[in-house]
Amino acid sequence: MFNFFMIVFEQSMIYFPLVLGSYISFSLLKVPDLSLEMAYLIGAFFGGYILQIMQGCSLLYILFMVIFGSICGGMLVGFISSCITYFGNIPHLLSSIITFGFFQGLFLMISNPYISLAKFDNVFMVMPYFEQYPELLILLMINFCICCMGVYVFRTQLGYSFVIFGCNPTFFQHFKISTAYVFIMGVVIANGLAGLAGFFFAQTNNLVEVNMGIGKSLFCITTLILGKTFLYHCKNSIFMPILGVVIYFGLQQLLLHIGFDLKYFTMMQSLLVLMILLTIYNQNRVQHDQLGV
Amino acid sequence: MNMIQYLSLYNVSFSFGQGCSQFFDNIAIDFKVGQINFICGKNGMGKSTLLKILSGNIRSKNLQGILQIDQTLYDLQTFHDVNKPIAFVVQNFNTMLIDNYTFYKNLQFSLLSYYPSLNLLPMILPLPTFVENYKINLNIPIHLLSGGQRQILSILMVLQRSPKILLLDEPTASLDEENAKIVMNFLQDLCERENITIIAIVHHIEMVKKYAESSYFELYDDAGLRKIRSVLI
Repeated sequence: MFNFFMIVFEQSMIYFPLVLGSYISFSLLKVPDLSLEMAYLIGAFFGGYILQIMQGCSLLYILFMVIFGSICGGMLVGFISSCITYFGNIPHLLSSIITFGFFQGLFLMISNPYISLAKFDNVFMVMPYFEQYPELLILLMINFCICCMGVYVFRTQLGYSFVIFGCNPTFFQHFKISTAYVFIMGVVIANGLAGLAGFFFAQTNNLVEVNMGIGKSLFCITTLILGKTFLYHCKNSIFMPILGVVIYFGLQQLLLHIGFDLKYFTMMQSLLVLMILLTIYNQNRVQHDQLGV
Repeated sequence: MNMIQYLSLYNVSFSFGQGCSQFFDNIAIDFKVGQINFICGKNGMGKSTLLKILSGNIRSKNLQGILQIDQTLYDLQTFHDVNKPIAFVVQNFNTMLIDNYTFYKNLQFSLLSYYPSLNLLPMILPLPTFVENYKINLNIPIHLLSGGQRQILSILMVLQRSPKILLLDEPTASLDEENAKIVMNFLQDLCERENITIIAIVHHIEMVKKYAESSYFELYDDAGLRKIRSVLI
């Protein structure tokens, strides 16, 4: 049972930044931000590259640099997709797809489709506290910092602006706040977090792979819908992505324990989302807004 | 709130683009301060355009004119650059409101620009006392409020910036008679208690006659040019 909880906990810690990022773009800004999938890959690539070139330095120093690098990688994707949307007057779904295609091509142009990180130091070993789960403590600490920053930001002008943008994007033009600033900042932060999660995944699996981001939108939607289902009375709370990701991996581990083949899990995921939307959401008259989250 | 003593608009000329015929030609208006100034006129006479010019929302080389507030002269071409003592409530006031949130929260949101980026927003803001007179439940989501109450909220939101002049583009257009009355009483209250000068576009002449003190302004067409005159009631 201890192992069950530890695995759920570790998996949740790896994916939490991605879910928090998708919470900002899908749930608060209410934009169909598929560029998260590419930010996930580019963040992993940037982090992996920094890890590679900084071999020999102090592990703690490398850790800070790879976190910074992976966030910047994700932010770059978010910045480009949001600028295409805003300044090119293109729907965000389309600009996300364009950005996805561009960065995937760029990735293949400058790198192999598979980059192994196995031969480099694992930065999460800077504090190997739990014997069986040596990466857990450092992941926990990083995610705790992200949570604290998230709680703070959601109570500031920027945080409230994300919520307001999702409800009424025309609001800002009446109150001397730049709509472009709110939208671009929101998408950039969301993608930066996705980039960080990409590196977490790459480091724990020792692999950066060109298709690693594909399907992450469905994962994010599922976790956010799970979180919203359990916290539908709570308006815009950071607990929604936290609870969602924990329940998601709890369910996944449960299915694994009863002998379910995980290759069918994506199908289960889709059915689960559909079931929640058709039953709990409809019963409680929860509004099916953008992406249901 | 400090009351302004003098508000005047003069030498206003405007056309919609290079080569277009003149729309306003040398218009001049002396507004009555501390009162509701109504602007009437048929559709297409330029009422909303005039209000946009006054609010500084029109940036054009084809705009000329001076706005005088007390001793200060503002060039209308560069008016959008200055810290305006003017607030503008658009006709579709719903674009200013956040439906899922309460009256309090919406008022708080209207002050967002005072707390740049990562500054924490204060949780409680004082409300003008007269809100209570209009039986507004401050703690329910505003999509449950009546049209009149929502209009009052949109006005209160721009008043948080303490403007001296309030511009309203058809404040009663989407309201029934009862709600229109609530809003007009509110505006009268506002002039009396806060000494604000209001410039409002209104279509219903009966309403103008009821709420204007002695006269209103009418925009009319004179051989293709829009002109303005004061009409005594």
